Amino acid sequence: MARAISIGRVSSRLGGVALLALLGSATVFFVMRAGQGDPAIAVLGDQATPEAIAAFHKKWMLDDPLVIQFWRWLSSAVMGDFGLSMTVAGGTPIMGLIGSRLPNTLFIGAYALVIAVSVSLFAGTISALRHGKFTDTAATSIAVLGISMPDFWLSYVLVYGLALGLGVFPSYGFTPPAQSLTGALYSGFLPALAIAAPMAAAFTRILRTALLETLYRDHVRVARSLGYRDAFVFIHFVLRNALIPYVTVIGLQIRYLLGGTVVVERIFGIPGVGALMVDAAFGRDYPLVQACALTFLLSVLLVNFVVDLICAALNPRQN
Amino acid sequence: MNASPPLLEVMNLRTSFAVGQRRVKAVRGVSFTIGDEEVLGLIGESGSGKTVTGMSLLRLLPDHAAIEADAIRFRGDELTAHDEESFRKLRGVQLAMIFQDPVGSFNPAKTIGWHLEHAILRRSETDGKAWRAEAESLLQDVGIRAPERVLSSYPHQLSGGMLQRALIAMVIALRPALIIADEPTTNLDNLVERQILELIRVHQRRLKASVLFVTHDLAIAEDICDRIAVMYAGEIVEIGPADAVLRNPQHPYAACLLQTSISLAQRQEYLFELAGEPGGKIPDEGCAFAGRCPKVMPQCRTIHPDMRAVGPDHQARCLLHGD
Repeated sequence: MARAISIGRVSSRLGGVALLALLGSATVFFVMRAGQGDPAIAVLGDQATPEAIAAFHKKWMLDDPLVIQFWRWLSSAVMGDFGLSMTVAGGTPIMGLIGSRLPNTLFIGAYALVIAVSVSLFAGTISALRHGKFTDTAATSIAVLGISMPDFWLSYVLVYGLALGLGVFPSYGFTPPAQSLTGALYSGFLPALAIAAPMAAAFTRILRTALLETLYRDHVRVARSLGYRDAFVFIHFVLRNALIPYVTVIGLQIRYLLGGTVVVERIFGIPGVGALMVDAAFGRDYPLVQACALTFLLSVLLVNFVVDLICAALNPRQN
Repeated sequence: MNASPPLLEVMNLRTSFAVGQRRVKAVRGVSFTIGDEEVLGLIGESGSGKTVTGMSLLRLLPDHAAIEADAIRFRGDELTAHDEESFRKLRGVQLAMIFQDPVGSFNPAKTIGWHLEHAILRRSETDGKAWRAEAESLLQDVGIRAPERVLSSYPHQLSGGMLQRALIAMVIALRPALIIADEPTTNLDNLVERQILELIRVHQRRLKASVLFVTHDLAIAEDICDRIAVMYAGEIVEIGPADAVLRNPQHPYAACLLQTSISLAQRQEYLFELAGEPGGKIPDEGCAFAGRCPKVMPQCRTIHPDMRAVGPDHQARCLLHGD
């Protein structure tokens, strides 16, 4: 199993990550500036005097040429300094803001991923093994339903049914994992489920397809001809090879996971990076939006990088 | 003189596939026996049902295939009476198979060593690393000179010939009594083909195993087979000692097939005698070959011939031969 993953490959990937982070930051920076709105108005209000606005602009150096502003942001960001928020309490350090909220977002994201992977491993395997039978049709239909449900809509359905209706789960609010892990698992269940449902559906479908495709490959027939037990044939000859496309698709879907947290954090009142970014965008808090977007970007790239390493380990032909 | 039952006795094997609402009959009542240490060749064109016959015996067909038989006896044991789990225990160690495509026969995610380890463990539980020495000697037995390197290689790193050797090593590790070889050399080049055939023959004798050798290549069949069964449209049309069938074929289809291979050997374009193609619609009555037969008679289109003796241990399914 132990295969050396070449250092050259890893370092060229890290170079790619750095380049993508730069391009992503630049895009967010210039798109934000190109849009309507002024952070001075957002902070000082509609009635602000021109003098107050000018003072605000001077303080945050918003009248400098954009390239200079970007360079200034970039040179301190590279050093790990994301500056101060324009809107939160008149200048709170952004690193602190993100640092306190990132664990909540990562927790909800990981929670959703665990739910989606567990459900899809089970449902995908069952529907492939019962191919064409009722169980398969039922699982596949539920999967189509899952893919078709937007997370914001599903969130409200879950709140209506499980929180307000049955009263099993809280409808709003979140206990951070740092405070109580069981509390976080309990209060985070509905938001994680809302994010996980469409992903679980997509994962189930790809696993079912990959399993069915592998199930009839020659090497599986050879394994059966040697008289191996069914479970051994399934795990080592079928599932093992179906995992490669399955893990690849999980990697591609990770970005939806983060997109999902942005929406779901707002609905369930979870103090995470997603909710922070939405508020920052409404307030035209340029440095805070920049920092949140970069956080998301790096998370996605990091997860994709890990997924690629897993895929390389799963597929000997890739090395 | 011989009271014990033959190694394998197949009576009226019928295999059909569900295709949409229809059932397509691929094997239509095949009967034959294989004796101890005997190599029976099953020859015929693509689509004649020879591969499906082999797969049916090992129950390796997908779910939409229906396999029926009056009897399939292995050393007198009725195989059709076994449920899936007890039949699985016979696979590999009693009845094994060598497949057409060696590259596809291996799990692409695992090394050759992994494959051999599990084949060896399937036969007998060896503890710790003991399998490795056995795996190396098995690979040497099939003519692989660098067994350590091959053991740690993945399938995609080896050639087709090398993989077919490794597959044969896995099969002989299990010491089966009957090996079904389904065109095991079709995807290999000529030189390697000869070596693999030699290997199969050497190990067949060493293991005292019997072989059902499925092929469309008469030259190979002549080399390796003791007896030959010729299949056409899901039926055996002629069966007998290899020499008799190849030197003196009694069924017009067998004669045409032989003529084809002679024309090929002499580098003629192709055979004019055998018009039409197999696998088309098989007539409900009469002889399946009547539509293409150069010696067709009016009664061939209405009477379905049964097997008739045409020589010692030699039978043909043709009305040309009296009842």
